[in-house]
Amino acid sequence: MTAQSQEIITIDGKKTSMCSEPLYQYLSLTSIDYSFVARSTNLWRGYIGEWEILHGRLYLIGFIGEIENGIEIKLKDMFHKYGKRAFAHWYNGTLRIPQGELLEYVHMGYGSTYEQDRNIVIKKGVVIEDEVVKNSDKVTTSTGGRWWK
Amino acid sequence: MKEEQVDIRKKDLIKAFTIEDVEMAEMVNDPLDAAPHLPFGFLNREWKSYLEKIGNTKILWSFKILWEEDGCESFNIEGYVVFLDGQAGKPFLIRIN
Repeated sequence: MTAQSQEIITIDGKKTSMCSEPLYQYLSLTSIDYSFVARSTNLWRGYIGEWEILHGRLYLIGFIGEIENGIEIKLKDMFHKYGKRAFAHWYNGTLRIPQGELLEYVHMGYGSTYEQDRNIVIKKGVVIEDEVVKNSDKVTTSTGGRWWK
Repeated sequence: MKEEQVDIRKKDLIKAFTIEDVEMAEMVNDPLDAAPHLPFGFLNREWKSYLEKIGNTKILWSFKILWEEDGCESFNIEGYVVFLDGQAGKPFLIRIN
């Protein structure tokens, strides 16, 4: 699988990208079948969400996806009156936000390694842990060799 | 993964709740009013549909299982289920991660 386009997230007022897909859990739980269409090999999930951590909570603040017949789906189509901001209460997991230089590129999913990851643990949409993990010692020489000096 | 596929056994059960207790425990509150102030929030429609299916049942069990799909991916799945006479009914799934 080709390296995948990342979701966008704003934290502390700064926009960045992350290697996590919090909407996946919602799409697994809801009875509505959106069946997003992949138009590109770098976006198999067929959508991009824009997120924000605000006051210790995870919100979905933007969304664009495409279903069959080229129909575009936006945040308001999914969350109606919450179409500008939807609290991600359904989400439990860890948001991985890569930071710093790219150390090792992996042409698959979110396999690439960056200098460090900010890992934000979320429970029921609320931040419960926030830590930075340095990756400089973790990069292996398995197939692609070392990409950094 | 479909609800029907999730195999819940007695060992997976955590605690028994009345419907009212479940709704209280799973009420969604957001200070920015960015989610429905309802049990299970954006999943309230699914919850109501589930209640219709289980009819007069008064007690649900919370559960947590490790679900392996196709022998390669695994997920923690949490939810509620009717458990009677040693048998689990169709569950209501609330968390997959």
